[in-house]
Amino acid sequence: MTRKIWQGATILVAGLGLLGAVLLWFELLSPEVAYEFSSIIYPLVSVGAGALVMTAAGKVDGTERLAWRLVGLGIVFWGLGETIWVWYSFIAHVEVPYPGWADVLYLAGYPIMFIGVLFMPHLRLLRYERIRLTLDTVAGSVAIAAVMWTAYLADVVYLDPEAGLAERFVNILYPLVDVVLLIALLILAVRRTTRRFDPRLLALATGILVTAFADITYVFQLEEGTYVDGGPLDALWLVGYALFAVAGYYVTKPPVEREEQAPGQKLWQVVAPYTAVAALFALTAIELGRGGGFLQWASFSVSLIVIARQGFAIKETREVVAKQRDNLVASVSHELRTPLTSIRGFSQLLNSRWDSLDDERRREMIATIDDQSRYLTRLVTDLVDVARNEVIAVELDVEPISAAALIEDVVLTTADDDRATGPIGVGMPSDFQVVGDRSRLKQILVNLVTNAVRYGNGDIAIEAMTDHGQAVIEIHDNGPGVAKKHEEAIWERFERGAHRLDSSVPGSGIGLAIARGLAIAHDGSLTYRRSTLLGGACFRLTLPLSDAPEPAEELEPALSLPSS
Amino acid sequence: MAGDAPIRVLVLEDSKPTRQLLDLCFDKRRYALTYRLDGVSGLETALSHDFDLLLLDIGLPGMDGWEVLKRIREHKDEAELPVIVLTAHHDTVLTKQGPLFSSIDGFLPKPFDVSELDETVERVVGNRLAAGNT
Repeated sequence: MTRKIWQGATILVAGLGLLGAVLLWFELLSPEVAYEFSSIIYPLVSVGAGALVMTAAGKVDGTERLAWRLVGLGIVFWGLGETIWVWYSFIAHVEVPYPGWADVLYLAGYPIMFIGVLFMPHLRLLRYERIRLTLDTVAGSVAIAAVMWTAYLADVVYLDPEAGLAERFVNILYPLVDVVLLIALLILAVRRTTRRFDPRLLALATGILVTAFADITYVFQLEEGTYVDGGPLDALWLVGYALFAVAGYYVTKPPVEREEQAPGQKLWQVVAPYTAVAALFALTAIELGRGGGFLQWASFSVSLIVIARQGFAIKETREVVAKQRDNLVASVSHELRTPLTSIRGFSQLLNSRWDSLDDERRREMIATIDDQSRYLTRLVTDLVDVARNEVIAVELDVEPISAAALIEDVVLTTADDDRATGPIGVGMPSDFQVVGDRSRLKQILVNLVTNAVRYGNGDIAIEAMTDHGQAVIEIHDNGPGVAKKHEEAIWERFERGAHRLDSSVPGSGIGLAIARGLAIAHDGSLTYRRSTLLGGACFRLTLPLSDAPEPAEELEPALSLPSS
Repeated sequence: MAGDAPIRVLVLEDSKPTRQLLDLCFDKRRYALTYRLDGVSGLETALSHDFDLLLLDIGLPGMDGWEVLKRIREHKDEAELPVIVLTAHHDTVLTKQGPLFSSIDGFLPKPFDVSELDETVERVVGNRLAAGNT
């Protein structure tokens, strides 16, 4: 589907839902009209929202697709439940069978949606981190269940001696499934992800919250006998479905990512997952006078879980520190050994075979030793900079630089390394001038091109253009690209994405961190996206444009330089 | 017989300074060196031509050295193509590459001594010639 159709479908479903909600909430229709109106609009909005989410899932890949398909399926089940209900009461004009197919479908929607939420994308976790987060979720879930039980479930869940087995079962299930929804909400909140503030997840979470609130209020109203079909409460479910439709729309758009903070740095981040637990303790204190044995047991088990969780959190910290240290030692030592190999080898050869070598050779070998020791010096300097996190504070010697000349220099430098790659294609409609430190900009670009050589499959393209008053230089390759889950991690110091456990791919894991630091020092940026040009990785460097007049000579429309 | 035909050595190494170093370490009157800079073309060359020795770096672009070695060993055993591994990754080598590690004839951690390289190459080539004479 094209974007226009997506927008149209979303506006139709969500708009219809919200319109209906406004009409019902403010009771703008007479009770009879409201009843008929909601009978028509409910199946449309609910099934529509579910179908929209399920279709939208086709726009994303892997487990995320499965997650949204399941969420959509859950909504469709609710919608079909609504439809059957409407069929009996509005079209066939008979008593809705209870329990019947409408109830089966409606109840099935909850666990399906819950499983969908479980599959939502999240960052890969370390072992103890996973245990700790699981305990957080379990503690929260126990607390939610206990609070809900005390607050209202204990009063509404009972066995009707008159009812048949199936009816008793459904009677019990209806109030309980909302516990499932609230736990799904807790999981969405606790889970480590870079997408926490993505509109699709915000819409989904708000939709779940509204639906759960409506369900719980419904149970109360039924108990009190105040529920009216087509009354204000029905508006809330429509809002929920409208929100699900909006979530579906955002699934078709690229996600909004925000760098995940290390957990537990701020007080509220530590406390937030335990809000439900805090509520449980408060409730326990209130209820104790009435002898709440059940609550005491719940509090006791939650305390045990909290203690276990703290223990694992300590282990988790140690685990992370140890892993970072190992990564650092392995990658840095490798990086240092490579120039050392030449320095040691050439100096030994000069020492042992001095007489058999001619002057030209000797001079070459000494030049290589000098070159490699300079490289080693730069590595050590960078390492110290990065370890102190001071890259941004580097002193820049800024001047206007021709982008074409800069790129040509980079292509020649990397080509000198005579790798077995094809020619580097350079696409540049016209030359422009950037403001920056020539050697530092070259350092950034050489790093990116070297990465493209290492991780790509031979094809590399450099695209340079101006965009919204900024200079943009993109380096594309045709390799596997960066896996979604590593897209943030590659910018971390000493992080090597998928290669962190694969010591055979060279790299110290500081290159990209330094490159980004340098780009920021230039008032520019360095970001990653998937290459639409070659299908692999695309690193996009933006820099400020120079105000200085353009250079006089015209550039070739596109130049292509062989790498060797 | 060793004096007549040159000893054919295939070098898989992506770092230019290290290739220059290896080039100087071998006596051209005795050795003929062929260079490949990445794993894929290196594997292709190793399988399609006869060599007396393979000098294998591990951190290669495209396909890493262990993968190259694994695929070579599917076609050529130790007697057919002896392998000396040169690598800057020492730490995880032994634990990670158990069975594959036993199929190599020499292991030189970088930075290596030139004399050590000479000795290792002489030993492997000597064994091969001795085996060839019987």
